[in-house]
Amino acid sequence: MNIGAECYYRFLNGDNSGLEELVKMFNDNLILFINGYVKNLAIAEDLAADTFAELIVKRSPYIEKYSFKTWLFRIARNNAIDYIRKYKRHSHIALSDSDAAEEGALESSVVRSEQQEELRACLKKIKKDYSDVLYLIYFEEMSYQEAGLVLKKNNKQIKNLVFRAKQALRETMIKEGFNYEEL
Amino acid sequence: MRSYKEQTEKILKLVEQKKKVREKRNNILVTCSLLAACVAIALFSTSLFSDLNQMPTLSVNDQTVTSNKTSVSYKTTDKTKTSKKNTGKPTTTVQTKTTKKAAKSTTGKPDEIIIVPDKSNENKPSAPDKYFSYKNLDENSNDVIIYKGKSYIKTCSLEESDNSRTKLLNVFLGKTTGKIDNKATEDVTSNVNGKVYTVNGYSESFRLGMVTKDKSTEKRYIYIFDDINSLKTSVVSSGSELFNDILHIDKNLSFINFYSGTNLDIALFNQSNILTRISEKNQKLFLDSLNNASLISGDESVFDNNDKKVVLFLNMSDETTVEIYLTKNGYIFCDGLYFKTDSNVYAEVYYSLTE
Repeated sequence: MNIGAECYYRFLNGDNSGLEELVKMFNDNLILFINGYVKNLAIAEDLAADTFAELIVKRSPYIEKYSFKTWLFRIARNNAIDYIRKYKRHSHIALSDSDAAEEGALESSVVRSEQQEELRACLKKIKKDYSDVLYLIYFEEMSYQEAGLVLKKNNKQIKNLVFRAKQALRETMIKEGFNYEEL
Repeated sequence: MRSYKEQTEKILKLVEQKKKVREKRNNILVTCSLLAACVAIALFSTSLFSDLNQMPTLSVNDQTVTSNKTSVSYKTTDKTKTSKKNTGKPTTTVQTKTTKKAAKSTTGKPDEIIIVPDKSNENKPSAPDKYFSYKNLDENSNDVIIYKGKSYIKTCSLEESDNSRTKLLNVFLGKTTGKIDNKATEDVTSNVNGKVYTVNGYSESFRLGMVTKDKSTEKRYIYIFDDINSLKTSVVSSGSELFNDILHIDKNLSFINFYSGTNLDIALFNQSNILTRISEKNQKLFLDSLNNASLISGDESVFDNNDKKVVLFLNMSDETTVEIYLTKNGYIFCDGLYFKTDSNVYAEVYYSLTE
């Protein structure tokens, strides 16, 4: 089922509650995903809003073909990369304590189990490409094909990327003393 | 962190902003497209207008040199016409030369010049004098110089020597590349590669000279170019105005050769001195009769018969040559002009030369 598409079309037909539901469904995940790129929650929040707005204005025709979520994340990624290109100097601003607390709260809304917490902690320590693909697959529950669409990679590339990401994750988890096999 | 409601409101604001930006962008794109189309049309119109303006200044048959914008095309005579000429019809104002090699290409077979006035240009505004368009002149056309909007046709050529160069050539006017292009900006241009000068003793508006090198023989020649068109529109009414006032035969004549027969193509190579047939006194009287001849609006038909023709080669002291064609009935042809005389001396000399 294409989660979100129905809300999206409802909103386009003039029902504002459709947008509210979309925001409730995807806002936190989107901010967390974008934050992985821009390393700033406030900016990630703005970019997430911008992503929704862009999807509404452009009315992508691909939403029916692929899932709404896939398309949303794809646009979010593009926005994040554009932002980094535009404002490179500010891309590595250190998080303040309040930012860190907010990020923790945001993660807790996405991460549902202890295992996922461990996984999330380890994802931060591996390469960005690896963490992205694993985040999309394990946390956003996307298929390989959908993850490939978001990350602009074909099937073969995404399979290779997942394979290497898993290896990197395993090494990291072993180093950190977590049990990889339980995941 | 914003609440979901705040985030939704933020998104709605962003949507409005983005919609406005898109509208503006679309408007700008439409405006730019229209502007680009207008500019393209304007440029196209300008270039078209400019091209039409740059049509040349030439007219040969149509003698009115009122504007610089008459297109001209020259056709070399085809075989049919050549055979017609063999029957004794001089087709154009081609004068001979003193050097055989140089003359072969021009005087042995005088080319017929066919002018096609470009009527499409008649109502076009004038272009600046310096810019001409010579699209109708192809590379096979007669040798021609375009100078100050007038066309000068090659009428004579001679091998260059220090003597001839000093005698003939005077003020350097410009260098030509051998291609008459559409955007010639020089005052002088030609389909012959060479240096153009004024000619000593002749009006610049009538005669120009060119020094050029023949690639095949590696020899340098002096070509003489005359503005035959101007003669036809000038105030010439009698022979003396052409022969004395313009060609200066009275001052510069050195000796006269002649050919008589029906095949004018071989005239150049079958010359004899006129004094072998007539006396010096008769020669003088004969020249007087030429001077007294009246201009007529004749055409080639006066030569279109099987009568013997006489070609006079008037060799001048400046090494140029003037060709004059004579017929039995008193018709005289020179430099595109036809004259008629009823002089008895003319008749006597004609019969003496054709015996």
